[in-house]
Amino acid sequence: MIVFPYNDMFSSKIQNSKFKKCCFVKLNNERIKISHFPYWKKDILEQTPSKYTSYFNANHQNQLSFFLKSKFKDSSTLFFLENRLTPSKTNQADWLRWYVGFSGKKLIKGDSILLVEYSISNETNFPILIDSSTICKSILK
Amino acid sequence: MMMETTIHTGNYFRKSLFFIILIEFFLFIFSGVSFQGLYQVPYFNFGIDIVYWLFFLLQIPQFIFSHQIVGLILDLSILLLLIYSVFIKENIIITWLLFILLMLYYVSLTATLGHRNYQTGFFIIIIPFLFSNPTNRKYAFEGIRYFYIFFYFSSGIFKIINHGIFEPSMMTTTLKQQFIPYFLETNLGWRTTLNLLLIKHWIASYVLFCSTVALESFFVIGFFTKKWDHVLGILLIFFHFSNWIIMDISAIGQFSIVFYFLISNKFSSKVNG
Repeated sequence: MIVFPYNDMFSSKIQNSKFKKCCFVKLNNERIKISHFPYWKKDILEQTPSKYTSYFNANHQNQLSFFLKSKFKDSSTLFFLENRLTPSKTNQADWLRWYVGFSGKKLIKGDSILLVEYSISNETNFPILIDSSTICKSILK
Repeated sequence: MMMETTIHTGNYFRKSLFFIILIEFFLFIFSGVSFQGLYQVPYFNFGIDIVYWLFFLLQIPQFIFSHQIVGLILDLSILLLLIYSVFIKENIIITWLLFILLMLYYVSLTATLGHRNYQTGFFIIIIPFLFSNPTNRKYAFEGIRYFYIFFYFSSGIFKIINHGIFEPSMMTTTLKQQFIPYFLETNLGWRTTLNLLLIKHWIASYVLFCSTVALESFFVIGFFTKKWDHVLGILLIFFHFSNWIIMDISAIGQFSIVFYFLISNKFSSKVNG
């Protein structure tokens, strides 16, 4: 967007629109609520769990990691670029703790944090939860 | 020519634009996503974009993410530089600093978000003020004007090219997906009620979607004349306000662009008059 101003947001039919997977974080088994936050904070809290889940499931690699691997064969160049352009392989607990802190919740010893992926059906007039699976978990020591 | 360049470098015009950027940045702070709010971000993601690469290769955002005090200093610096630009006087070095800091902020914020966002107006509108030569400044404004006309026009055209407009359920599906957190949290606010109403009455939603395509496509007029710029500004207010009400997407970063379209025609009229 910075270098070329095209905009194709909401322009094409959503594929497989009857079902959607999305991710949320639970603190002590309660889903962290996000809809009351101002737009930008809500957007970050809504988008980042799904982004992190993709990264986590791909063995700590994001799309840019795959692009760099496909374009740069020289190992020292690749290492330099990966080191600076992709996030370091942080402990999942760090990400979970950051998320909870960013949402304004205080953490205390023994708190359990879960990243959960939900399968949602859009067949009716409002979304219905049909399944869920835990992506990663951390208990605060 | 002389009169025209005077208007483009006019203090009132510049101060008004910088005042709006100041409001925009206050709203980012209020939302809790200023530099300081991005402290300890452990995961970032961006695509193939030279602007992001430049900042991240220099490890600037990473340094800001890991030092809260640096984030605080940068937030305060942006505020002070904006206040200086609005209430004291124009200084090219300060304008350059502001531009770089706000672009760095956009890069850091959207890398945290995980994808690029269209709200670039709050730093791109500063580009003309990087030039002290009035002619260069005028041409920079022209460039930005075409940049955003193409941006909004392409949005309408893509909805036709990608067949979104030919899909009557497009808007209701988008609304359902956009409001998943609201439904899961059983948020019973007015926005959820409106959302349910629009999902139930798909014809009304489809009409809204088609109106959006018409509104965005109307920006094509900007390629041929500047006389309608104030109308484009009013349409932008209507468009972004509706997006905020219906989709809960608030275009904080685009306020200055809306203002530019509203007011640029007024300045042009003065020139012609």
